[in-house]
Order: sequence, then C-alpha cells, then structure tokens
Amino acid sequence: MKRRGFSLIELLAVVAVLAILLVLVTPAFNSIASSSNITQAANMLSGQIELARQLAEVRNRSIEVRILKKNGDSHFSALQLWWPSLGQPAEKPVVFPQGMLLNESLSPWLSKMGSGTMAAGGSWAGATYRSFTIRPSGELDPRPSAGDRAQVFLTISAREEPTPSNYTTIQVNPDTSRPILYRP
Amino acid sequence: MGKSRAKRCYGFSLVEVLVASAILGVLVILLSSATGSLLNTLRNAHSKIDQYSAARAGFEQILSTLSQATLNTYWDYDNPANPNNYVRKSDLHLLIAPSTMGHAVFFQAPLSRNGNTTSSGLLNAVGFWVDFGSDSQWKPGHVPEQFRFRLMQGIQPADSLQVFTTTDGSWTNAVKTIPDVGFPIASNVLALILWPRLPVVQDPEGNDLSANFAYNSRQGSAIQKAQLPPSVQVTMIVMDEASASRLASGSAAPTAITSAFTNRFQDVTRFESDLEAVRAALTAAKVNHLVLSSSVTLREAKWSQTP
Repeated sequence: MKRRGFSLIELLAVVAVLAILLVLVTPAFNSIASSSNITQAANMLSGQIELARQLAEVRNRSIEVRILKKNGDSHFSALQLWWPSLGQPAEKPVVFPQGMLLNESLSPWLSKMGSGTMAAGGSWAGATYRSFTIRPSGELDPRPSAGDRAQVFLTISAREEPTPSNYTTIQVNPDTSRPILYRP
Repeated sequence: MGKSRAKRCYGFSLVEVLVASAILGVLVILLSSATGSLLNTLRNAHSKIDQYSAARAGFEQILSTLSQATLNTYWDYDNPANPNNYVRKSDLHLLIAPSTMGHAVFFQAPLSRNGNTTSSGLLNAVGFWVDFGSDSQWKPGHVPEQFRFRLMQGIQPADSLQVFTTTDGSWTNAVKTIPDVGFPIASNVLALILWPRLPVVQDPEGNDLSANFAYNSRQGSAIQKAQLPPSVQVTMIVMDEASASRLASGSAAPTAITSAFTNRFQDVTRFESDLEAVRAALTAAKVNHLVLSSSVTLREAKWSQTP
C-alpha cells in the first residue's frame, strides 16, 4: 500500500523545487525582453535620424526631428519628422516600445533643443516636444558650438536614472548627422 | 507474482522523479547553451554587417567629398618684385601626406558649411585621416572609454577658414582639432591609402605624379604645383569589432596591426605587393578585414603638364 503513488509531501516538494526554479529563471527572461526593447527603441531613433538626413538631402529642404512627450506623461517616448518650411508632418509619429523612454539625465542635448507644443488635431495634439533640425547638407542646424559638439547625444533606457544598468546612447555627428551607437 | 509486480510498478518513487527531472534539467542547460552560442553567432554577424556598413558609408563620403576638391589656379609673375616669367599659382591647397596609418588628405571643397547661415557654394577646408586613440574627447561621459583605430573627418566652416593665412601646410592642424572640427566617421578603419595618379593609359606605373603617394599643390614638384591630380585611387582597410576587441591592449595600438603596416605604402610601384603583404599579416594575426578600393575623378582638375 505504501507504493500506491506520491504522498502529499512528495508532491509539495516537487512543486516547491519547480517554483524555486521559476523564480530564478524569470529575471533573466525579463532582462532579455527589456534589452530587446531598448535595442528596438534605439534602432527606431537612429533609423528616424537616418531617414531625416536622407529626406532632407533628397528634397533639398531642412527637416525637423521632433521628440514628443504625450500630454500628462512625464517622459519623452515618441518621434516625428516635420517639414518646418511647409508646416506639415513628413512622416507618421513612431512610438518607442512599451516602457522605453528618453533618459533625460543622460541626454544633455535635449536642453539645447528648441521646444514647442503640437498643434490641435491628430492624436498628438497638445503634446509638448523638443526638436532639432537637419540641413540638406547633413549638418545640424543650429551648428553646436565648439564646446557642445561632443554633447550631441540622447540615451534610451527603461527608467529615468543617472546610472541605468542597460541603455543605448545615440550620438549624432554634428557635420553629417550620422548616428553613432554606444551600448554597455 | 503478477499481483505483486503490479503493486510494485504502480507509481514512480520520489527518487525516480528526481532522477528524471535532473536529466531534463541537464538537457535544458545543454539546449540553452546551444541556442546561446547561436545567438552569439547571429549577433557577431550583425555587428560585422553594421561595422562594415559604417566604414562603407565613410568610404563613400571620402569619394564624394574628394571629387569636389577645388583649387583657384591662375597665372602670375614668378617673382612680383623682379618678374622673370609666368608661373601657375593657387591660394587653395591640396595636400596628401603620410599619416600615422597610411595617408591623410586635406583640401578645399564647396560644401556650404557656415555656421548658422544657409548661403550655398561656400568653401570649406576638409580633411580625412586615420588615427589610433581614445574616444574620450567626444564620447558621452557615462560610456566606458575605448581605444580604437578610427577614420576621422574634419570640416572647417567657411567663417574660420585658415588656408589663406599660411603659405605652407600648417592650416591642416586646425582641421584636425577634435572635437571642435574633427569628428570620427567610422571605427576600426586601419588605414587610408591615397594614390594621386594620371589615367592608367597615360601612366601605367602610376608614378608620374608622385612616386611616394605624397602630393602637395603648394610645395611639391613642378608637376604638382597649383594643380589637382586628375584622379586619386582611394583604398581603405577595415577590420571588424570582434577582432578589434580581441586585440585591444589598453592605450597602446595593437602591435599585430602596427607591425603589419611598418614601412608599407611608401612607394607607388610596390602598392600591390604591399597590400598583399598587409593582408597576409592581418590574416596571420587572425584579423577579419575588408579592403575597399575605388578611383575618384576630381572634376575640377584641369590637367596640364606645363609647369
């Protein structure tokens, strides 16, 4: 009769072992998911800058890259390309993956940018934005002063903190607007 | 007998279940390490593509910018105080000179960079060169420092052009100031080789303009004076980031790389054999590398052999 099956204690032991294993494994998966989100957001940002540079060159017209903060949000988390001379959008806005944001303490360039509020109409009406402009020649407008040329970068991370464990920093070459990516 | 056997095999014992789960655990670990190495391979392949794409973009940039190089050639007295004859002169300057890795080129081109105004057609001084060193002068503060070979570009704005203030090549120093004027355009570029030459039919050896790759439109030989070379063969040697991080040894340039380039690319007639030797040395050091080479025609060159 003793060998009829598992006792309750045995089942509990197995379940406990499984639970411990799960607890150990989950953080690893979380960090993989979050790092893939950071990579995706960084590719979005550098892709939009590349696209802006190419559009400016092809259309021979300065283009504005707007970094958007949704109404009521505390962080910048979307981008839109804009034709300032036409007063109309060049592309649809792109939004960072869930939870990814621009880490303002590691993005000194933000404070040097122009700012404004999106006009009424459309889903981003009333959103505040910061923006920089790329000329058809590829250089940034206005040209960063000599001391600021190395400060032209933006950082994406999962949280707003001065020392995130995982981040991607995108620096922009002020002469050519080509992005340079840094990962830890 | 049958009954007791049935009774004995009714369920698994705890030990059996534990053994089974241990085997499963080992299998999972083996599988995950296999997928992990697969992911690593994929990531390496991706980084290799990224790496070379930045270098290719930089290479294209050299070609397109160099093709716009210009000089303002005119004829004037050789010595205005006591003239003897007319000579070709130019206030602008094209300079190809040996650099730490290969050669560096400096010239003027109408790139229209002038601070905050948008007027077009303005002249800029431009330079391309390869350097080994730290990125601390331009990298963001929170990013760890890296020592790498890099392709650098300097574009001096029209409002601070210095080419007119000197009679030699010292104006190029200002073009090389990092990060005020110079900025990196690609990492892990080992060398830039610039070969000014005439069309191949006219000059099969390629040494009519310069025997040692150097070209100086101000102080060079009579054939170089105040005129642009009709074409420049641009060659760039690039390695991948995986090799670069493997060879990285603090602030010193990896000797496996520097020794491969010692005494190379100083004589145009040995260009092919030098390139072969460098490639062989890099392969021997297990450095994945790529050679980009193309010839660029300088549109503004009005070639004439009359000195």
